[in-house]
Amino acid sequence: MTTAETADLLNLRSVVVSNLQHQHYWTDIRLLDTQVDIDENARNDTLPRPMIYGRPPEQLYNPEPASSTNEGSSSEKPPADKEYVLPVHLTEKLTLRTWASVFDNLPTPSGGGEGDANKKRIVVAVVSGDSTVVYYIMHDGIVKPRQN
Amino acid sequence: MADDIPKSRICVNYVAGRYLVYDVNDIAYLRTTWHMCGTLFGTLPQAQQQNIFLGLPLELMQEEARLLVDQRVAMIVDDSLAHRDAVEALSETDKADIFALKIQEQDKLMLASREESMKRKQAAIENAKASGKWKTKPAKAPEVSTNQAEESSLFASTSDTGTEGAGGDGSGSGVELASTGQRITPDDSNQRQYIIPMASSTIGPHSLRLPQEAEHAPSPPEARFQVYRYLQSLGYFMSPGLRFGCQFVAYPGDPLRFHSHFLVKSLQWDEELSILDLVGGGRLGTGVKKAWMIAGLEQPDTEAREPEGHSVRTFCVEWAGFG
Repeated sequence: MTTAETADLLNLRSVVVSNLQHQHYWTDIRLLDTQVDIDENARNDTLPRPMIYGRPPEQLYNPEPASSTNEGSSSEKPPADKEYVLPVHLTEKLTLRTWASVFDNLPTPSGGGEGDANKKRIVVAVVSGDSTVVYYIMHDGIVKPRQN
Repeated sequence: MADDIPKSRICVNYVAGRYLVYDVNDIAYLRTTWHMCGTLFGTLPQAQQQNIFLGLPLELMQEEARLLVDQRVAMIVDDSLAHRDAVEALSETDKADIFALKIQEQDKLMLASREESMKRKQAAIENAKASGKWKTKPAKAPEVSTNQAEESSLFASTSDTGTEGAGGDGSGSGVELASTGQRITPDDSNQRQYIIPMASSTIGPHSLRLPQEAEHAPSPPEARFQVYRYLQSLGYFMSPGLRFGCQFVAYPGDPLRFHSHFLVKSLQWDEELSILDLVGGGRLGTGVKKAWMIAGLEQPDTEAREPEGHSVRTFCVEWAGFG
């Protein structure tokens, strides 16, 4: 990736970060540039694309929520799970190879069940020219849709 | 339908670029054992004006035909070649046998249908008599008999219709029933019309000879086929995606019991997908309570892995619920 392209991606990310922070009230936002940012024991390779790690104000859709432990204290909601966010621009064209490499650098979710909850997922933040940002969830593997 | 496992391979007829199955038992077998529903697209002879419920034949997707051939479950019969061959192979006695068989079948159907319509008519007359309308509306009688004549002329010969027309002129129920009664005997066979058999494999009782050249291998696009095969092997029922603007719709079980879960789009590993397509797909899927899936055969960066270790990777997209 050339320097110019990297700079573009970093600018893209800053748009998404401020959108998450100020429009959607995400907290604990961290920027991820290398594998070390995700896992301290990993090698210091750069990620295929710069990403964001943060906590949404409310739990995003979870295929199999780990509800059994938190059933008793329903008065206090457990904090929402943190999510990985991948900023992309509307005019980009990505291949399956790119998507796969993004997922391959993420850790497998811990504590999840055997089924869908164990699947990796990212939030794709799509930025358009007028700085509108829309968000889509992408799962790695076959994950049942939430409403079905 | 009792024997679930056909003894020999299923005949899939290749007609004008489509893969068709004509045998109901084969269709049941494909559905229960191979998770293939296909698409019925034959008009029902009893209700030609509608296309909600369709009958034989069943059209298979290219991918389905290919999988069945690969699994040695089915063989493809190029219908135009097989037809030529089958017709040429018919002897005079074969033809006579076929005619006799057809006449038998038709007679049976005809008698059943006449009995049915006579019962209906009698019931209608009884009804009319009971409600006292029978005598007051004599004008209705010829109308009924004309309908009857039209109906039966599908099966009956023209001379028969003539009698019907003469007898139907306002006379009482006795005459009419008598004329219907006459026709219970099957008609003269030289004035019949024959239903043309749909598939060449049904011509004659002889076994279908397969010319070597007629063997035809379905060749769907590779990416599509790999994705199809992968999801099919996981037990998903796959159907054509036209209705939802995708390549396949994947059902977690028989479509009669389940809603579909995924709208599938197959891609080559290095095929570019515009983000706008991803947004459109995600929005489409979420709008119909499904997930939009992109999938393709993984081609690792390094050639370290043996080619046998190929696997299909899938990614499911849904709207995140905000933004």
